[in-house]
Amino acid sequence: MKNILRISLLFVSIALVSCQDVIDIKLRDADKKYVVECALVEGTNESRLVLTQTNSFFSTERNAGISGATVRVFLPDGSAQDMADLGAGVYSAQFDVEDSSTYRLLIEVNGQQFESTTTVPPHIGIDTLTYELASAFGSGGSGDSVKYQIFVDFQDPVGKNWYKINTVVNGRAKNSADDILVLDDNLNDGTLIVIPIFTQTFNPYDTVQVELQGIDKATYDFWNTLSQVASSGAGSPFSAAPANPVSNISNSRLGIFAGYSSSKREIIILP
Amino acid sequence: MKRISLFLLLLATSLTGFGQNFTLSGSVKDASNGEDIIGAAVYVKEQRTKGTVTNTYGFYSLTLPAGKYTIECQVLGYALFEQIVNLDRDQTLAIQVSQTPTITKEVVIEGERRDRNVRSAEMGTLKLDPKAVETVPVLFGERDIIKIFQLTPGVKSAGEGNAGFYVRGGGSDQNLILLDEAPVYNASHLLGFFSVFNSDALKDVTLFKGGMPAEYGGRASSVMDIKMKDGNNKKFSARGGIGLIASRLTLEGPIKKDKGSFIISARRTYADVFLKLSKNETQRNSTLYFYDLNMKANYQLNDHNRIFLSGYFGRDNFGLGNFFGFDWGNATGTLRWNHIFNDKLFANTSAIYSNYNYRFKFSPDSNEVKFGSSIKDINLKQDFSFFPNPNHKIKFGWNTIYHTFVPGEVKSENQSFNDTTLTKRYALESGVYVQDDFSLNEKIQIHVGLRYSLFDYLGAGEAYTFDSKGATTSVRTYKSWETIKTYGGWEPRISGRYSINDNSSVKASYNRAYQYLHLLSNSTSTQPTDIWVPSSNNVKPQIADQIAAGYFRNLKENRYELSVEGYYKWMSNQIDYRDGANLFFNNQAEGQLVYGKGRAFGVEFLARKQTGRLTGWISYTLSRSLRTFADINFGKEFPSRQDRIHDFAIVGMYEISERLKISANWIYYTGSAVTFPSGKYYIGDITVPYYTERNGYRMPAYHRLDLGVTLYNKKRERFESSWNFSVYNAYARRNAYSITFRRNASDPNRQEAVRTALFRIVPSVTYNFSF
Repeated sequence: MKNILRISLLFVSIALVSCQDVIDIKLRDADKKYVVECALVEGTNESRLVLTQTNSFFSTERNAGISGATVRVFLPDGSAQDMADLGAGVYSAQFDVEDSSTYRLLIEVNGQQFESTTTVPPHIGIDTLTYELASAFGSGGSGDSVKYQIFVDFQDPVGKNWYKINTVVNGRAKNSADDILVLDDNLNDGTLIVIPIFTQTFNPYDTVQVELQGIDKATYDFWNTLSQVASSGAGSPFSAAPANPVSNISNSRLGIFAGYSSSKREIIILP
Repeated sequence: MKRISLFLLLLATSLTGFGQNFTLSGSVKDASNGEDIIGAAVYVKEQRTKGTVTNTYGFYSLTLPAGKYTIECQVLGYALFEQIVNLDRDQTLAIQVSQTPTITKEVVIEGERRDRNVRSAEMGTLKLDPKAVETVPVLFGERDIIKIFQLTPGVKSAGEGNAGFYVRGGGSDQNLILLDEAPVYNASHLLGFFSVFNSDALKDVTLFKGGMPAEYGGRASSVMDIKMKDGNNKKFSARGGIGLIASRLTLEGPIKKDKGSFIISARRTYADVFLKLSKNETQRNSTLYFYDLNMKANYQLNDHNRIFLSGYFGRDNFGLGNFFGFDWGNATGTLRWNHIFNDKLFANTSAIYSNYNYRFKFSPDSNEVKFGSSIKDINLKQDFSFFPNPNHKIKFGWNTIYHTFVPGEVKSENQSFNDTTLTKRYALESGVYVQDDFSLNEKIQIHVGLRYSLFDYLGAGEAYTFDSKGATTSVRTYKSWETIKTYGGWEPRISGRYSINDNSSVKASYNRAYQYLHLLSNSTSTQPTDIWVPSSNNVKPQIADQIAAGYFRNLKENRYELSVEGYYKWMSNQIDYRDGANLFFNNQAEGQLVYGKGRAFGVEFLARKQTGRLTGWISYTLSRSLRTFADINFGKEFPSRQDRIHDFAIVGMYEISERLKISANWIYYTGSAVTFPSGKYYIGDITVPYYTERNGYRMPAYHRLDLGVTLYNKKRERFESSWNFSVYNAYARRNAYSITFRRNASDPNRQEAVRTALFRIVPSVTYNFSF
């Protein structure tokens, strides 16, 4: 709901905007801190972790990966699995990720320790995907070209649940900050949810793969706050006060160790 | 309570022991339309210090030893009233003053006696007559009294073109805005660009930045007391205007001549008319407008009783096609009864209603989902003015407000949404006060007041408790009217004036104010969806203590007024939010709050000229506003959003001829404190800004020049009209409304800063008429 509200406020603010230009400003360089990113996706048997450091904001170099860390994942049965250092800050291990399971992460690098825990929630399947002509809800409707809106139907179990929806359009994963779509069920607990993918609209003949992921509260908070500071509306007076995305990584508080249940379906949009 | 009665008793005893005295009382009215004149000076010509000023309802009372006196009444912009009175018994004198014939001679800025600046004990107080500042150029030519206040020292605009304001380092939610005694909870239209107050319907606006009289309570920072016009009780008249954004029409006239009158004032914008011309169907079906309706009627039942009924209704409407709608607005109503017990005791009893709500609906498919939230007040209030002798003006009274908060409700025809209502919340906010404005001697004038406020957070409802991380630890259910939590406190208010000589004085004040209601707003600007919440078992009342001192001087027979005021303010139980707080539709939103303290200090300079061809003022404020929260910025003190170090404004109006007036203002202020990143990292392919401190950076300095020309057409019988041309931001400076960061279009690893500027040059024209 917040997203809908934000979109509408943005619409008004854009209507009032008279000019934008790129300017030079000076920003300070903060001390470098470690950033952890690791996703455990239900049904996969290889998981990767990326360890990097923060960099100057206006630096044009991609942040360097940090090798030489000890990375260990504790599986639901209590066994430990070390991740192999593949170089350039990438670590990898092979184990089956299962739903309704909790995983723990431990990293040691240059005398610092980082810990985190995440839960892959129970699997929730997509019932159906439907599409219809887009109203001006998204970006469709404002131009002359015909755009479509996709709706995802699924049964929400009673109790608190959180979701993330990803799309792959014609083989290309949509993963920019503006594509982040996370949901809670505060207003929809236990209902058959029909949710439009309101972050995007689609063209005729697009092949769209939709993935519905179940996530825990920490992962929801991370993506929700990340979209607030990284999306294109961020920093305007209508957006939330800027702050670092809420992280479940101890010590550094930057990045995410996230478990995802996964259900995928594909649809081709025929006009 | 015991202490208050003791206080009253002491006052009463100190007032006894005078000889054979008689009382002259009555009202002061404008001879042309019967409007009560607030703050008119009524005094004895031979002994100018023996005098008083009229109250909110134009009533005065003057007790003097028996004798023959020349009574004078002086109001700026009006001819001097003089009458000889043989005071050998208690008697009434109804004073009617006439406006000075030509506008050239006097330009009204205050309906006050001219030396009020140096003579009164008040400080941190500013009064504006909407009529006097109507030629000051403003955005889109839409007259807005709040925007004029923003050009005075100690008052800052909440942003470009914004009707929200900050007073002496406090937040915009810490201002109590009263329209005919009714609190207005969201005083802006169209996301803050216009205030809800239609200048045509207003008589008088007073802003108390400090030295707040004890009769007001409920907000920590300031009180803006707005009085609507009563309506012309002599003859029917109309006035109106056609502007770029909106049109206005005001009708007023007698209900019964000299006995009662009414006024109705309406305003509506018409941006949506242009949307209808759009080629795009969605835009054509979209709505975007606001309107206001002010109404007031009063009737003099007899010499001792008068009733007033006033109301305001305003609404913003925004819709996209038929699948999204969003509207919000205030409604207020005030029923007042003035009763004169005798020539020394005046009473007013009010019943007040106030409501703010917002609703939005959307239809993801053909089934509609509606959301809504509201705050509703029912308020009873009684104020007594007691004039024992010319040296004392005593006021006492009480009020009690029953608040109902509806944080959120969902009504759905759509199967994906449940009908949900967040716990409604209830509270009773009460206050009793007594204040006295008295002169100790020729040199010293003292205003002393004491207020006791009491706040009961009531059931029915659930009260949650939270741990230090904001997670819910317990919940308890309360029955209807069961007290969940009670807060209360004494609010002393004192200010004093010492006259150095006839045209200069020093003043000092101390006051404490409690604020029991809090505005939750997670964004950097105020939005219609911000919600008000009561103090509760988790949220403590905000308390502000302020000390101030100042030097006041008038020059050249009161033609120039100068003042310097310094203040220091402590604020406790201030509210901020956890990172990523979700305040929207959350029963446990209180778990998302963090608490801290603040301080603000500054010096304000004001030089103004109120009479002659050239009028206007120069205002400069040097100030800081800082906050400390254990959970924010690693516990280190940081500048608040209101922190702008330098703030300068110059406002000038010049009358070239009776038919031509020009005006200009120039504004400069330090950029607001803002949070920018000090690094970046990547999550997948997304660039994420890395923040290290709250409000550690500054926006660029802001400055702007506005120009205005007002042309008065030749009067034809009763019909008067004028054209107002203005240019907002005349030298087209790109003042940064916001600075945001984005990825460079060609190099995904490069970030760039983007400045958004609103309103580069905004010319506008308004046609005004009256008959």
